[in-house]
Amino acid sequence: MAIAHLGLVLHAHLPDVRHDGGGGLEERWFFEAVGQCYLPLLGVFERLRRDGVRFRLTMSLSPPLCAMLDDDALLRRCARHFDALTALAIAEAERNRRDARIHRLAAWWRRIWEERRGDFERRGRRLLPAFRELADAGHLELIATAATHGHLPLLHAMSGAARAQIRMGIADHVRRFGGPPAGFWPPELAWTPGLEAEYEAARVRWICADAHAVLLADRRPRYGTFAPIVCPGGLVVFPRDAELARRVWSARDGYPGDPWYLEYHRDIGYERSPEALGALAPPAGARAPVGLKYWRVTGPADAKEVYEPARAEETARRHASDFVDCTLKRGERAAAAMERPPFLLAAFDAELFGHWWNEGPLWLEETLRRVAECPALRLTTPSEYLEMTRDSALQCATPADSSWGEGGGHETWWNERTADLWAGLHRAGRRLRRLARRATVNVPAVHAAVRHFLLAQASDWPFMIRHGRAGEYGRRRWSAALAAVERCMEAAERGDTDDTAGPALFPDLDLSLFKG
Amino acid sequence: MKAAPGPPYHDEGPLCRSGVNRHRPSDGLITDVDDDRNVFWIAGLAPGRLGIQWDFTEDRWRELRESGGSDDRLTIRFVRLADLSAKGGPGTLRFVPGERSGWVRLDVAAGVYAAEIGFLSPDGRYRFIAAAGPAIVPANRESPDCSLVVLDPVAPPPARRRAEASASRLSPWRPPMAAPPPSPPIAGGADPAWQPSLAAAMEIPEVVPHNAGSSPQRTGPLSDACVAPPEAGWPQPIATGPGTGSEEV
Repeated sequence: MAIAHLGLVLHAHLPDVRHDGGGGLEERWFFEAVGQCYLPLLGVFERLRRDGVRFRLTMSLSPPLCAMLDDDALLRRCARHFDALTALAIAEAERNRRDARIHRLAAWWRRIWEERRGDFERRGRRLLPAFRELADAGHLELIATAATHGHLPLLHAMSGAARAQIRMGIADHVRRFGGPPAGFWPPELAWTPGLEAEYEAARVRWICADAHAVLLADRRPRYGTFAPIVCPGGLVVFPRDAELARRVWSARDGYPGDPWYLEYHRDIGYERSPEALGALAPPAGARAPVGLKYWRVTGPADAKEVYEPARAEETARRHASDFVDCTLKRGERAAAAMERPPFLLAAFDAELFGHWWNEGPLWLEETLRRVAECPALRLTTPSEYLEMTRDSALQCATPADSSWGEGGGHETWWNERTADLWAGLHRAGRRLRRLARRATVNVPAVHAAVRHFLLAQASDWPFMIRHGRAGEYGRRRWSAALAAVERCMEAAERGDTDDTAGPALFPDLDLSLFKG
Repeated sequence: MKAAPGPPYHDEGPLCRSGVNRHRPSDGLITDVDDDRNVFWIAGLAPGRLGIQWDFTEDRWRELRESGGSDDRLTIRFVRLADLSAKGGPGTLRFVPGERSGWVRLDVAAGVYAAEIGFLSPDGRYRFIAAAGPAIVPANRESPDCSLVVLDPVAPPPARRRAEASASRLSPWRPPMAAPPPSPPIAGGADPAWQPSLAAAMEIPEVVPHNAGSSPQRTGPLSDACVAPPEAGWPQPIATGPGTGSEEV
């Protein structure tokens, strides 16, 4: 009988990076995520299923990501990107004939991209049906997340905005996956007291939160983060286990920083001439990674050793074993002091696996295989855990304001650099609310304005601006979305019907959510 | 500039009940929500930290500047709602840069806050512009409340039939029933001196340290702050400018 339960939750999200006609450098984020994360993760799950391994994970796929995974034009560009990568790997193998180690690595990359390209085509370039099939087979529990990854505590300060993000995220989930979700992934694991009423009204049964949301709750949690708590209205909150998160996520001492793993930041996109990069050459003056890397982490210094795939795989297996051992030890220690089986939540961005951490999918596969072989540890989803412990009451408390961002609060998204963004959202939101309440306005234009408004709320833009990573792009996208909101609102007031298509998101828009 | 969120808030004070949740034009603690263009809002930023932002249009800012004295200073007053008695309570004034838009972070004690922005004259008059709140600032330490209240969240629904399953493996959630009385198997709940048994096993996350440069200054109690119009007089800040020390509200 299992002593402890491990809940693995993966959150898959990318902002909507589609551009009319394609060609935007940022679309490569999507191509990279498909090739480096989603296809390998599906491969892991399908291998485990084929091998009869008992595994069960929870996963959320954000509406913007799902929209991109359903976009034919974008998927065609994605296939072309994979072709270009394969061609580049072939050229690299040829170019490095005199350096046996690099030559072997280039050939290794060529084989990988040929396989992934083939996998992509075999699936008809469609990944969502594969996730649905895994859910139907009982291996994945798909949960909802916010409509455009809005930062809910900060949007909660704008009348109705958090509610719309939650309700529309759930509606999109139901439309795509056919059933109401039991759980909900709050973007950035962000929480503020008061949101529970919105979740409860939307019939969300449970959400995830960061560890300190529960540790600093208004009543001290008896079981720390080893058990969920329940808000007075019935919403269950599962806290992340800080130690498990640290082992995988920490930039300083997490597994991905091991010297044998592939160094993410050394990419031939920064080292080769534009001519050598061929179709993957960025626009003049720009430099960007292409996804072919030859070096391992080695250490903190700039000098890097050549990557050795076999040693990296061996390390991933060792780390999987360590993770399972650590989970089991923590679970056993907690179980001795609890009247219910402890639940340890390990929640991560899906894009960590394969993109930032090349060996992540292998680590995940090995971890799932080891847990399946460990009788004292059971892989369980939060919904399953609630069902299994249905005879046990939960401690009632309200979690503290929190997120998984720097400092544990919301300053990553609301700060000196992003303040104007929030002022713009407040202004647009108020004007849009008044417009939505007027029955005589041109409805398609209001719908378009709402879609642009939702895009402007993505937490990705302030994150990019704050950290300076693609900050200019984040600001440009946010400005463009708000300008489009204004344009559509003016069109609505004039009664124009032109220029009211809006982004290809949320076909079943419920305008009543925006009437405040 | 936000609608008051619903319950539960455990330390709502009279200002929250009487001032923020109900329109009271006499003291201006409710923002003019019909104003599309001017923004003033507050929100909890992190444990022990409050964020405040204002952004006025050029026209509105000019009008505000021209309607007062040249020595008036843009000032934010914020109050911790739990500190307010029926007749008033402590409030804190903080001078902020006299610009038409700005964002400040303030290190404060945990609690629920409301804030207002206005101009403070040398004679102590406070010319109100807008108000916002309530906003919750989380604590940066564990709650002293070790009481144990348990709740049966919901009777979990039966698993969906395979033919129905496509996304979630569970059927739609049912709204929770009325909470049953506290019951086993969580033990020890009746003991008020109970301490969590697993605290030592948990890693408490690092919290944002206090920032001396942005700390507010304490003021004396507000007289009739909840009920009197601004003409009743507002407290003077006891110190101004940076470098005057860090202090929790």
